[in-house]
Amino acid sequence: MRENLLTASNYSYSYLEFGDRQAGVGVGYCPNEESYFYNAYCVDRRSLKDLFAVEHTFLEEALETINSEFITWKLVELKESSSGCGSCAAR
Amino acid sequence: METCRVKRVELRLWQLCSTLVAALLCPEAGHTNASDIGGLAPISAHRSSTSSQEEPLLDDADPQSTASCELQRSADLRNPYPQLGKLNHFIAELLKSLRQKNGEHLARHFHPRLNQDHHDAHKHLQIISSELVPRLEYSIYKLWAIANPKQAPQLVFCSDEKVSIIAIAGYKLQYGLMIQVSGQRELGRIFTHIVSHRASLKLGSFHFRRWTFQGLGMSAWKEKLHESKTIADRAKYLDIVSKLSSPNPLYEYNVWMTSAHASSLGG
Repeated sequence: MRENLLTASNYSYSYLEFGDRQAGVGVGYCPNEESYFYNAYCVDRRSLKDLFAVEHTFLEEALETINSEFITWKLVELKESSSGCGSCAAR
Repeated sequence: METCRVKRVELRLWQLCSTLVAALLCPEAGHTNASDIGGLAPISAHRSSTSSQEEPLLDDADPQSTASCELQRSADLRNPYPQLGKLNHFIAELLKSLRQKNGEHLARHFHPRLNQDHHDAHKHLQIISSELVPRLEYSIYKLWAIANPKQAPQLVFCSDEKVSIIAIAGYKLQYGLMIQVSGQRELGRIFTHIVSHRASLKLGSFHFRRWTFQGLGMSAWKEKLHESKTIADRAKYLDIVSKLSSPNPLYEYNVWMTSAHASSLGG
């Protein structure tokens, strides 16, 4: 069994990576339907362009899409930003 | 953006408003202002000019009696309801257009008030295909005859399957048809109201919902939810259960969660 899989447990803080490309699953909420949906995406971090995006009703389907589409990519955990307002204190 | 997503196939003949609002908007007098309900006049108002032709199926319901629902027994798979004549033929044609993925043919079955052209019909067929993955098999699951003498929209209890169907306004008799759609691995169901229109029959509503996820129905996912140990699993299963049991505007199952289950979820 592959170890570098995106799963229901790790998808919220992990993604698949190849060079400058990042693939993962994002969560959205539709207030009209009052339900969550899952966006399987792939972006180019350098140009900040969407390369691939599929919307799914169920999380498992979104994970399956990403894991099958980017089967050879490396599983990476999101890193906390080293700079910016999220980590600095007002002086 | 009007709706976040387009995967839901859900139409209504007109607003299934509360009984109070219905009483205001759908009186027997038939002088309702169409603009009050977003341009869709209630069928009862429209019917005042064509009353002799609009209700060919049943016109002997006592207006004082309460609404009721009766399951229609199917005789045969190929010719399920020979006793219902025109309705039997209508259902056969509807199934044919679904099986053939024929949007133009399907669009002809919709009531004109639904404003569904062949592009819309084709979109509905596409959504069903993408959710369930062909090859799809369509079959009749249940057919209910709903008598609604007062013609107001209301929830009508059908005891055979503990389901309550919302009767749409303006018809003393209407049929609720549930079509089962089985894909490669998943199961879905289409619910439609069949109503009369100018001596013919039309679909008064059309609602598709997925019945299984990964080959398992809602009760199996509920079990998984109750057995889940981690927060991630619990969130995942809760999301699946809520989607498989999400409310819809046409019918509802009266019991889906026992009180014991509800209390264990903090309900």
